[in-house]
Amino acid sequence: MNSSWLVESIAVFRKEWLSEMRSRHGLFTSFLFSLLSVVAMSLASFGQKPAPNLAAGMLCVTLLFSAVVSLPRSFLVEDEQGTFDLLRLAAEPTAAYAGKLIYNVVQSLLAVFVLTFLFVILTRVSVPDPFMLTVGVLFTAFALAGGVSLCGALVMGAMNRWLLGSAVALPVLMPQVFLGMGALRSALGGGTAPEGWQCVLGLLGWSVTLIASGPLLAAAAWKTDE
Amino acid sequence: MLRAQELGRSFGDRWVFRGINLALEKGQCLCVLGPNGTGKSTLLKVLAGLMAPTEGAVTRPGRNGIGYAALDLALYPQLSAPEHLALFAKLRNVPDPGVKLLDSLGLPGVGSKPSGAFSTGMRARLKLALATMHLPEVLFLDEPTAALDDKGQALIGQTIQGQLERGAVIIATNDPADRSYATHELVLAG
Repeated sequence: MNSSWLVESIAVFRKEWLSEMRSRHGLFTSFLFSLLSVVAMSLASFGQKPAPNLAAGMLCVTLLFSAVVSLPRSFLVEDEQGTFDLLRLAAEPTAAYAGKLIYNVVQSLLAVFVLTFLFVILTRVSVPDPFMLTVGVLFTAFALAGGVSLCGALVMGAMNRWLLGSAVALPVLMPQVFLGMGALRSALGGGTAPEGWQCVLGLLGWSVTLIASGPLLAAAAWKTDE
Repeated sequence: MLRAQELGRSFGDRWVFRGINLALEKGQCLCVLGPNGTGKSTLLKVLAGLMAPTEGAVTRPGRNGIGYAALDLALYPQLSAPEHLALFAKLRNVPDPGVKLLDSLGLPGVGSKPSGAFSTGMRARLKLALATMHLPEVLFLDEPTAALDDKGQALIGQTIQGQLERGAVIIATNDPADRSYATHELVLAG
């Protein structure tokens, strides 16, 4: 990584941020869908606190779907609006990926913390270990951004990109779902602290794997010559 | 500056072009001609590195040695012209030419207007700015005058003349006027 690579990554991040702030498609879709899910869950459990295991599952699924509906946009929209050629004419592929990944991490962090807060308030679920919940949600956000970015980058340019994206997302996001569920279950009182921290560590490892391998895999997938 | 050996591109069973050999040096302008659908744009994309050849090889300058402007190349609809220039200056690691370049390309006072609200001619001028702001070695122009008025066409002429002093140009066109810039011609028959 050199200063030019970093400047390119930040330039791509800034472009993503400006475009999103002006169109608000991604954030709006993510928040609207997720808010609807949280409200539906709170209505379903109206008058009673959901069991920790069930609450962990519901929260994990909400976070997952909020990421899946919005995060691949930063990649797929380049293809759909025809700007991908313009970008790859000028940008180093790994730097372009990194810029988009940083944007997705920021959007994912915003989404998961707002959603978790709303979920806890609306379902009135008790949180015996708020620190583990915070750390678990933090690494879930990283893993989601890393996984969904990777899927988006790999299926860009494919004919049936949304279908292919779903197929690629299954193995990429499955470990994150299991580990996230384990961490959130312990944080909400459905498991022991050591089990929870083990899952948090697993989430950290999976996030690092996805985030580190993403630029290289995307650059290989975007390559057109040789 | 640019070499292609036994270049071919097919889509499924259909060969768009095959067996193309070319070498382009500084001061040369290659005009790629042919009716619609004969693969002019595809050839430019393969030569510029935007599309993989099915067979053969291309030797071209690095990322910063290539400038490419085409009708089907889209701009970021939410970004203004100065924001485009700032973004691509950072990506190409060159100074931001800013308003000065926009003025010289006939885009004065576009300010913060997003490119999504530009006319086709304005978009073509901005694409030309993005293709030339880093002074590339090889400039690819796909139907460069198609969306431009007389002033815009004169601008293309000046750009090509300037480019030929420091490098080479490849133009894909159907416009007979564009042939006046050519030092070499390649006709694709389909």
